[in-house]
Amino acid sequence: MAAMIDFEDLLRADDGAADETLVARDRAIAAEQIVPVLGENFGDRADSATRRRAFRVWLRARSDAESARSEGAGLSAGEAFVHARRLTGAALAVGALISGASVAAGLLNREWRYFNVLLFLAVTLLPQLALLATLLAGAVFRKALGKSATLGLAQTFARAAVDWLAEKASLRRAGDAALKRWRAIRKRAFLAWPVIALTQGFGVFYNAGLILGFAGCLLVMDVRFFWESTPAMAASESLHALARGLSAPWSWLAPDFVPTLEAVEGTRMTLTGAERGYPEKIDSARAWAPFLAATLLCWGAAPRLLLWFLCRWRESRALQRESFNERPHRELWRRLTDRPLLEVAVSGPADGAVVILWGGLTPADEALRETLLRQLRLNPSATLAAGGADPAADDAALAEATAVLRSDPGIRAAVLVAESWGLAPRDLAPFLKALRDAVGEKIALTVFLTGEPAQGAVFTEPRKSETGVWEDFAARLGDAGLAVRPYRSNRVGSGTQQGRVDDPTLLGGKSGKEGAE
Amino acid sequence: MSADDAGIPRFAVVGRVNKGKSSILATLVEEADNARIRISEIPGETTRCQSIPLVLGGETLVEFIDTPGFNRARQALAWLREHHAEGSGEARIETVRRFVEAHRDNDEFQDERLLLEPVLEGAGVVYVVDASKPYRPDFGAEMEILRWTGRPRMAILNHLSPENDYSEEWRERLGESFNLTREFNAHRARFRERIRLLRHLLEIEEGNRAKLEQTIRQLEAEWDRRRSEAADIFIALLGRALTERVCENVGGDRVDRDYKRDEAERALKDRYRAELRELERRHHRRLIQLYKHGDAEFAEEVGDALLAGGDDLFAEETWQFLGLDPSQLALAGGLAGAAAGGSVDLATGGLTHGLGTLIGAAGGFFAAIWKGRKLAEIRVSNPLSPKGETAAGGVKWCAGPPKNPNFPWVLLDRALFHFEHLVTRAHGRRDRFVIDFNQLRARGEKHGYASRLTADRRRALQNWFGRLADRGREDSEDAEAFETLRTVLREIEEGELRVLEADD
Repeated sequence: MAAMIDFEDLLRADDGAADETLVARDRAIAAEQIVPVLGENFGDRADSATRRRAFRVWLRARSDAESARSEGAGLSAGEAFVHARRLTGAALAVGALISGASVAAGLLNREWRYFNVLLFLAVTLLPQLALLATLLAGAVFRKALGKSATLGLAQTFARAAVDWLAEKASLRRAGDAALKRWRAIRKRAFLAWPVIALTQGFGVFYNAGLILGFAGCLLVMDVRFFWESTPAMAASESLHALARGLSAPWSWLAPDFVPTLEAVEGTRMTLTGAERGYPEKIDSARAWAPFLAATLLCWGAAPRLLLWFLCRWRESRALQRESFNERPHRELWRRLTDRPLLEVAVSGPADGAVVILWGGLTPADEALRETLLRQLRLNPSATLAAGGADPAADDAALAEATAVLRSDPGIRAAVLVAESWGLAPRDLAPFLKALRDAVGEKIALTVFLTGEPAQGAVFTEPRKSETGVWEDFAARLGDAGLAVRPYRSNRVGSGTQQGRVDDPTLLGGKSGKEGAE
Repeated sequence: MSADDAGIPRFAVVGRVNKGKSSILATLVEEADNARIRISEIPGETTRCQSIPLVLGGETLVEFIDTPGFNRARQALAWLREHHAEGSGEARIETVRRFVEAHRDNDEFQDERLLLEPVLEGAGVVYVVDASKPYRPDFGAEMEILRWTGRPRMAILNHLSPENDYSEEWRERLGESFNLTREFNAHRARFRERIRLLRHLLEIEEGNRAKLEQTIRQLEAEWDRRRSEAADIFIALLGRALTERVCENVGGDRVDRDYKRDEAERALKDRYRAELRELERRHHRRLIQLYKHGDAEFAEEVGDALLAGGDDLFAEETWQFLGLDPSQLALAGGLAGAAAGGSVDLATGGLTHGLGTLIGAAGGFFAAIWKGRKLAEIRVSNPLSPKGETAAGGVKWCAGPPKNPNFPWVLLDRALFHFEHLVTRAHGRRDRFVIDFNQLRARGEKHGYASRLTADRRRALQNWFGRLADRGREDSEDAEAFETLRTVLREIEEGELRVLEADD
């Protein structure tokens, strides 16, 4: 129990700490202390037994660290609870003994030294039997009512008591943070059982006190017993039947501990008639004392003792069956088992291209992409426009091309898409030189030529002669990385003799005349 | 030294253009980012070999190579035959080497050269065909070329179209040239099918099985962990939705007159709805990230009728097909009421003779029937009532959470529906990611997950919902609800619990 409370307390102490700090700390604990005990892949086994073992190692490591930090001063939350429980248990036991003895002695009529049997049973036994019946009903209907109903009242009471215990014991001195953590921990169901066990322990000692007080009266005084009943129909037979019923558990073993009908009749006090007054005919103590003592033992102390054992067993079982799967546990488990994830170490395909549409061409994006993928094996990463009405737009296009190249390492070519019949060398030459300067030597430059516009076609094949003019133009520029590529309507992917741009050396080495028909 | 020598299993995924090679790889390694593995309907989208290694802590465990498709396999085979002197085995491999060398500086067989290079360097061959199209003799050339490489080979029957199935015909043909033929639908494969495919790769991997086995173990562990994190996302969503309120200090002048009060209430309710919707979307986005669909465009297709009902979560029709049906709701309400009434019995020490339990059960039962029929009515409460004024002089009003017992179940159903879409969406898909609520609407009955949960699971979740209402989020033990949700998520992953139609 102490370890469990310490564990919960240390977990709550992490609330508010930076994730990175916690991950680093717990990863170190896992590597240095848990792995040597549970093996490298302990995180693959997510069963509660593995968690328990891993958490126990973690608790030891954290407790050691906390202990070193506080130089061993002060009690841990778990130790404080256990001490408090022990002290409270002892105090309750003494209090219960005294209460029980006082009640037993108080039931004795001091003046006449008589015990009223019915009053004795009503005061000492009836409340206990009622409580027992309620608890049994709760246990029987547990499934139908649900856990919360069965334990509802007990837990509420238990929590209040645990709070009181904790605050009075030592946590108040430990400060607000410790109290706050405790208030979070006390909601855990397993903490209800120790407190319920305390109440049953109280009951055991209370009954022991009753028996001792009762026995003490018998020993030191000449005590007699009687009973009375106002309704006349409550006959001796009824009381005898009750006594026989209560004696059922021991009557086979100790028949003398069961009052006979004669004894019952003989100890009835009558308030009228010739025989009114306290009965004196028989030895009432002999008739009733063993029965009452056995009744207290059997119906008072024994059930409480059984319930006490039951509570301790449930406490032990609750601890053993703890799934360690509440939210703080899950977070800790993830930190402890945190390990690298599989990564797909892929960068995009290095076939990107900056495309510049020259002279007002506006093909649809998908058509352009499909054509360049098939014919140049390039994927347009950015499409810019130049050669339009505004010469200043050319500079903007160049600047943007530079920016795109800087941001996208997958780009390997710049493509100028132009109409084959619209070559204006003195306009285009400076632009291509500026483009080369902008993209650098490593990027291949391709002029992709389309022919005259035609209905229903985005691109058309340029005339052979026009392509030749462009090739001569490109050759005169003296750029080894510049190639001229005409659109080919029958070129789908591979399979032509055309040079293509997926190899920079190929692009560089086939300047000018590349792509002859 | 090649990667093969370094102990890394390598697999070249080859096949004719546009037969789904990249899709298969994207699905297999969970790569939904089109900028990293490009997929489209345009033939020849893959222009060069792309290495796709799976790396763990800096160590490559397995490497896949996406290749350009075969374009001129018949001509390439003719070249091989023409230049092959005689012999088989090593002699043929040598001829293939000469083929690659001969076409290194020209593009006559550029695609064939590119796809054969990694194979000659030792990669295993994964040959992809589209089993929704029939076999034609020109595919035989591709198979023959791959046979000449002498490498271990597996064929994958992909199904690009659901209409036709020529699997049998393909199996017969592929059986002549391949060590193994397996089916794998790149657009529908779930996690288990991906793991199965990786295990099949073990069968053609001769020397480097350890790392492939490690990859499979790692993937399974990661998937399990992901499921736990998903359950936690569900816990967070439900926990917050069932406990949080939207509060506002309303100035005194706004509560003086009825019409102003109504207006203020309406505004607060609208704010609550908006925040709840945002909460739901935020958690759905977390799920999308968790399942590595981060870049998928995410949208909900709710249909005109649903939109006309107000909005998605609070729309009348949403409540008609999601959540528990009246009898299930009444049973759950009855149990919860009995639990509360039982506490009263216990508190009185049994003097009430079980009357509390009885009244509680009856009350819960009928309240569930009555309230369950209504929509998620949002109540506005005044926590400082009757006369408590805020420091500012107004009153504090709070909206939500809805008291309708079906509310958590509807919310859960919506989240699970989203989850099923996520786990059934293959990463090789590049279409828009749509959560199609219309599909449920069309069925016209309760068709969510909650109504099909076992009684034990419903009770576990109902208990947690009750604790949330009683104690708040921080103090409600949720281990049982977490485990229940984990189980439900696993069943959805495995297809044991499904709402989506098979063809979705």
